[in-house]
Amino acid sequence: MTISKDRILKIANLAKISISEDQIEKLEVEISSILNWVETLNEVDTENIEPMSNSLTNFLQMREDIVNDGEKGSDILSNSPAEDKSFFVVPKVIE
Amino acid sequence: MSENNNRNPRFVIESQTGDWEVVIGLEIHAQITSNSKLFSGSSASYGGEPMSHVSLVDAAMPGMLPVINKQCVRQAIKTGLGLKAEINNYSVFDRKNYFYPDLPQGYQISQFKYPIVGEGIVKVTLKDGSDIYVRIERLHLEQDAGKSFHDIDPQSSYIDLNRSGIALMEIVTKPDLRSADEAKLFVTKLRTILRYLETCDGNMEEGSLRADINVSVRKPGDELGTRCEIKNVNSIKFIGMAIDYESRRQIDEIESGNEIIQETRLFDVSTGKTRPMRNKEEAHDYRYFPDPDLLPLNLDQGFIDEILIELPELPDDKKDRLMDQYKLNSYDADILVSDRKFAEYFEVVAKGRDPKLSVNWISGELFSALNRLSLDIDQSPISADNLGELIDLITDGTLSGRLAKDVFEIMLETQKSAKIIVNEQGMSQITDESSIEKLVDKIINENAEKVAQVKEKPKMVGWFVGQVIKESKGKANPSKVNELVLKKIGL
Amino acid sequence: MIDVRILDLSSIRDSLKKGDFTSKELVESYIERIEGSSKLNTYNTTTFEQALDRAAISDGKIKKDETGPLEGIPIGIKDLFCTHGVKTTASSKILENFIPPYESTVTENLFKSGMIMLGKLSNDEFAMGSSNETSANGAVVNPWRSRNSEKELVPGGSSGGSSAAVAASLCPLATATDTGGSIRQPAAFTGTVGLKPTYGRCSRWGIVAFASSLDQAGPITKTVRDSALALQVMAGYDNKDSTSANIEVENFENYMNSNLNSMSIGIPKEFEELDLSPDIRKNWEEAIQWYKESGVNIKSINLPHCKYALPAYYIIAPAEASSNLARYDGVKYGKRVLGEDLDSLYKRTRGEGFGDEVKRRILMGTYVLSAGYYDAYYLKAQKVRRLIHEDFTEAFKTVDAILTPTTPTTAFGIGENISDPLKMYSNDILTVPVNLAGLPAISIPSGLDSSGLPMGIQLITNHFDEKSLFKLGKLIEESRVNIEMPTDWWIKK
Repeated sequence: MTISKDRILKIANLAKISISEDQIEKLEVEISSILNWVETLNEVDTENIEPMSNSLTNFLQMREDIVNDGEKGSDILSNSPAEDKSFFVVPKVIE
Repeated sequence: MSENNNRNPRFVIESQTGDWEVVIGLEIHAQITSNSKLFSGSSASYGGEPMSHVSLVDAAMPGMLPVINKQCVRQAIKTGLGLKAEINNYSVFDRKNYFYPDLPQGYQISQFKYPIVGEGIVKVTLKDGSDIYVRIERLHLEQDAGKSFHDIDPQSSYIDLNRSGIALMEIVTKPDLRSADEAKLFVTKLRTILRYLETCDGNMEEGSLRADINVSVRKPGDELGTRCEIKNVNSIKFIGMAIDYESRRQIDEIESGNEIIQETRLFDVSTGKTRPMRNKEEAHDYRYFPDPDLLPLNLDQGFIDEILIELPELPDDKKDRLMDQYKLNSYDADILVSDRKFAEYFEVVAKGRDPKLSVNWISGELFSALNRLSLDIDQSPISADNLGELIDLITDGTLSGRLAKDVFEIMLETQKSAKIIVNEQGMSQITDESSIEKLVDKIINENAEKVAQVKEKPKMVGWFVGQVIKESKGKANPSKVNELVLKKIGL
Repeated sequence: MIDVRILDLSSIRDSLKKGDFTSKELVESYIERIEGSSKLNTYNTTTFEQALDRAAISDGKIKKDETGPLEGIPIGIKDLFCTHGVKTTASSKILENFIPPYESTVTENLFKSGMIMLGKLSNDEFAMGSSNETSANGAVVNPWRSRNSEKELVPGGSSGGSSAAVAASLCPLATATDTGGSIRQPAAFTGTVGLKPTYGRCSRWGIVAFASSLDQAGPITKTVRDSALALQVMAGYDNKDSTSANIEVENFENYMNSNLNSMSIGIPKEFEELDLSPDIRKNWEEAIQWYKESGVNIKSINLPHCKYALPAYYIIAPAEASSNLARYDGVKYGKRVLGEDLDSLYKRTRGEGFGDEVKRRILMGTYVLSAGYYDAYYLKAQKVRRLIHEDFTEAFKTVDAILTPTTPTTAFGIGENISDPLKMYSNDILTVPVNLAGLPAISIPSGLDSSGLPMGIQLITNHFDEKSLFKLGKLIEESRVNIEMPTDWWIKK
């Protein structure tokens, strides 16, 4: 299937990526061709097949409820593009 | 019950076009009681300086990975069992993708298709004493986000990640509630259950329990109307106010010929109104998919059974038992089971004593004293044993009701036992006839003209009784005094 | 100066022990060679001073005989591994100034074994690419060139900095990561050995994530023995990674001289039908012959769903990546480009911080997960993934290993495929099925094509059976024509 320009813009908005006018057309062509190609999967009969999200067949291991981490404030702020009083700072959010 | 359209709803709002039924469903976010966060070893405690309970995982530094906290899983199962719900042996963690500055990963780890807990039920007793049953659709585990502060700086929002990654249970009800009162009672009941289970402290001021409220209105018998979701309401009172406002708003909209738009709204505490969220997230497309950093969670039955054994007696069962064992009425039993500690206190006091007298002292004197002192029952200056001893002194006649109240006050202040106070201060009741007789004689002799009057108006006898008790500094047994006054005056 | 070109990991280990040279001399020799090789553009960041300090410490330990298993040996680290206090960029503008305050588990294991980091090696941006041309630091150049040609070739990707650095003797071992072939394909393009261990064998903690269910760290080395030595140190259970396997790490070097007599190798029929270059097809047939001659039982097998691995991969990997890369939002670390509000901050930061290939994959991944498309694309791909996994499970009931070429062609020219994503993606056709099934596989240099470029052969074994890769891999090294080293054409004197 081909992807419309409108859809590209919606996806870009979801992914929070700005794209310029000239990029949109290029992406339209490229993503449409990738989509056409991946649709060869439709040849495969997957009736009654369980999806597989990880090749590991064991289950989740759990850790004990112990506080052994968490005082990493200064480490975390060390790469921050904008901080004040130990907070990250971003342009005002209006809810 | 349920979304089924009933021609005779439990509750209606009368309006210009007739009766309206309100349909409410809740999504409760309950913070799990645990030491550390859901997927990291940071402290899950409330408050602290900004960024003081934050690990590299909570801040979503590159390459960081989640590892699940067993205690949080256990708490979710325990809650599920407490809600009489099915526990799913197989559950999956999904990522819910959206951008927000207090969501460091750019996704929230939650459970979408395969939650850890399935359908359950909660009984709620309404004010008229009738019961309704609210169905639980599911309960799942998820991470909390950080906290945004919009009032520190006029141009900026400030982000703290202390809360980021704390474990939450999202408990979703079916649309089974029909009024603000029902919703408030449901949340109160749910909170009681969570506190019994010790899976959530239910502290709404600290944000441990928050509700998203789905509200719609319809004419009785109609299909469900379009709903609006009111986000993140954090007190039981506000839940009621938000529902009242929102249901009225929807009725007014429809009655003035408008349609309800499905949207997310915010409850403004200062105005008591709801308003649409400005940040529309119009394309609410969370792109849930299984978190590839986490494998499916597989619970073996032994693990669940261990939790089942630890399960405490829950409010409904406790109420039934208290009514049965102590012959309490429903009203008293409800008061006692509203907090697990009340009932525990009661059962110590009531052991071998009159249950009704015990409830009355607890719900009367004790609760008002604790309230006055802003203390919890487990901080009570009067232990359950000491209150029991006081009740013993009433029962054996050592103390009159009035004296007992005085002793109670001294117990509050000194934390001494009732017996010690009575002995130290000579407060025991005068019951022997000769002592009382002397007092009665004294009052009669001093008030000859009153004696004449009382013979005309026998109701005045109460004045004599009062004077005698006053003379005894409150210690004379009132019924004995009454008896002797009548005898001496010759009535 | 030591001629590091003739050295490999195990010979260095032995020489340091014997005292043929010191760690300091060794590090100095590598530094000099790296400084003369800037044309290859392999290192994003160098840490020479730190390396010399570390070498002095190692020399002290060697004297006192208190050494780690790889004490005093230099290593290059793919710039996807977070290194404490050393810039880690994933070769992306969005992380151009990121200095991790933590060390990835794999690099920590390596440093604990005594290894000394020379610097951070380039890769395709966020490991997305098959040519190392998508790095924000520019293309890496393959030390190999065709006979009588000066055309610059790609070193493969995404671990192109790692493969080129090992091939050019700019480090005897480089860490790498493999999501769809990113260790094996660049190894094949540069005449080096690239090992992708079983998913779960090496911890992913502290490695910048691309596609979490597929990513796996591994070594690029000059020899199979070196690969075993490196895995020995890199692997191990890590309770900080929920997908780390709690499985014993055997002494892999012990399997280097095993008898292959009772072993069997499967040749997948479906791979024979692929579009392979004639030289590579011929080389594959030769390799089969080598095994036959040493008593290995060769069987034809079926992997019927493997031809769908590539499209399934190009749904699954971008889907995971679109979510994994959401954290690069200009709020907490990395690049921030301001806009008029928060939304434009996000969009401009990500729009300007990510390169074209990364953006394309994020968009593709966002699309296949979005409402209305999830079932048709993502879920479908996950189901196909299971079928591919089952194909391998069946195959390993009858064979110990599977033998295929690593790539359909040898190294291509810089700029040749970059504008055609589908053509670029087809590079991974032989390597991707392994990642979807989580299996271990190794690419071993198996000869030179008619223009003199290295070819690689791929061995695949069952989960956690890396030892059979080492057992069988040795034979390729012994049987192939002698592969000369690339000439030092790039060296600036």
